[in-house]
Amino acid sequence: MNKLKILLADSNRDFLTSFKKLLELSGHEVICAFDGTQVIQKLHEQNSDIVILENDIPRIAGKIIISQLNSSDIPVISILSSKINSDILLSDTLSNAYISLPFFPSELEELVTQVTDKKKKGQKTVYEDIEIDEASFRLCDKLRVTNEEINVIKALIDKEDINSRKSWPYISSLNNKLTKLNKKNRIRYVMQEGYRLVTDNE
Amino acid sequence: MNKARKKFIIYAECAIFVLLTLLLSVINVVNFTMVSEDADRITEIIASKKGTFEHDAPAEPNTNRQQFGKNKGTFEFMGPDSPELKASTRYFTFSFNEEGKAKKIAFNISAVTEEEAESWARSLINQSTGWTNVNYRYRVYEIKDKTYVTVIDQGRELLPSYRILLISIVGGAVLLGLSLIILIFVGKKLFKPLEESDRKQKQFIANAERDFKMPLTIINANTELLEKEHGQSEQTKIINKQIRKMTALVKDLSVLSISDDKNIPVAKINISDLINRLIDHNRPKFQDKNIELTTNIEDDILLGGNEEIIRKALIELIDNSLKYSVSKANFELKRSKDRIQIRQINDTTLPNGSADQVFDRFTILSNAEGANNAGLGLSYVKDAVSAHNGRCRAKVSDGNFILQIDL
Repeated sequence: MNKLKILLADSNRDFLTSFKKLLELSGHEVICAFDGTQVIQKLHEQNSDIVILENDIPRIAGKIIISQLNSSDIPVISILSSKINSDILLSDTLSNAYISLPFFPSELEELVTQVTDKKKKGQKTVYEDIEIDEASFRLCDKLRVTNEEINVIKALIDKEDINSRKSWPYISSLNNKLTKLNKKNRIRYVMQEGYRLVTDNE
Repeated sequence: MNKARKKFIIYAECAIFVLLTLLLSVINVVNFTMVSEDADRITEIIASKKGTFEHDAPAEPNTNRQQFGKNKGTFEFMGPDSPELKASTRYFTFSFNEEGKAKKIAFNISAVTEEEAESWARSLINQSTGWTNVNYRYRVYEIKDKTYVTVIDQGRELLPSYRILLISIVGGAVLLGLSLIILIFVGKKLFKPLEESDRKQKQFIANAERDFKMPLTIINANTELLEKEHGQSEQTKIINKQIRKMTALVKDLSVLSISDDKNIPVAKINISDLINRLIDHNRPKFQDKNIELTTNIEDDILLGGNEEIIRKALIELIDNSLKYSVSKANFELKRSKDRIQIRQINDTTLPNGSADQVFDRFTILSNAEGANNAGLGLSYVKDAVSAHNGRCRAKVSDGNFILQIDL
């Protein structure tokens, strides 16, 4: 695994200590911050490859930090205390990935790998009028999408089965974004097949 | 106001209304009947005296005052058998022969003239007995080929009855109002603990969701750290196993709580499509468990509601039948009148009548013991259905578990 410089920001010190150690054991370099001002300060002091950020971090709203990270093109993973929902996925400032408490350490590490890999490889997938740019995490060069949304739409393009229960919020937000972009494809449930990308005539 | 409290107040008020109406009706009906009987007794006495008191011997003055009220029952000095009857009765009697010619037998009344009285009596010839002109009682009888009509004024006897009727109506209404106030007050006291416990349960779920998540994640991370530093051991394995169990429960909690937020977005959902899709998606799981899955879904039924909540509720419903069916599961969706009905039936090992508590939070029935669940699935279904003003019922009969939702 690549050695990454990770900025880990959470108001819970125990969380910081444990995950700092875990990520370091995996070979990463970890910088810790326990509130919003510290995050901004640490970001100024040194470059980070990726930021893992508590969504409700005190002192500076997560949204402001995320939009700053977006503009400086540093990927960010948000830790949510609630379940992911379409409100979050359709908000203006979007993280590159979301993870909900409680999670297993391996889930977080997997997410770090996926996000940084996508960013680094910058793969572009084109299907009919849909274009996914993994370097910028954008759909058709316009709307931002999350790591999970990219996974879902790529799976759909490859006609793979997707777990509808886990993917439901992403399917819903992707459909919403495709509508916003006036694309002709939509994600629909096809009987006996599962979720598929289909051309919508409605 | 809480729904259960409202229901209680409405039911109790209805019960009070019915009982009060019954009581007051009986009192008034009996009272009026007795007044009628008294009046009939008087006309009977008059009839027995051939239509008039005129031929009576003058009443003997009561010389033995000792006797009065002592030896004779009190009631004999009241009503029709009172010695004052002759003097206090206002009445008139006319007799009519076969040609219809009238003859005045007695006339002791001030409210009408003799001519009016005669035509009044004539109009009653074909009757037998009853009330006329509100407070006059009449009796028609035959003596020696002649038809006698006696009409007595019972106004003074009727007045108290009408007063009682008025008091009954006004008093009843006041009592209903008072009972409503008392019920609202009592309902508040009575339901406060219940509402409080419901609120606390919800609060607990919300807290558990928030306060358990972070510690779980940290314990998780440190167990993994221990394993990485000192290698896996029996103990770390057990901790891991328990963490997994708890993580699943906490996730259950967070998924299965409907916020009290009133602004849940609502849209028209094609519930037929939704159910078909979800069942279709889960069909392989039913096959894996060798459960015969049958469906009877009416097409294109639309429901106004929140898709996310309805979807989750349906998933829980399907999950429930997947978990607890023995060999058969059936789903039905149909329109009945203006409501939408969803029925889920599966065979079960539960005994009859044991399904009352399935909708309670944290309730796990005997066939689900030991399963990794918090007993929240069907309580979520119920919450979701009541959030859409629907109704849930469940029963076990002859080895079948039947769950019915009316939306």
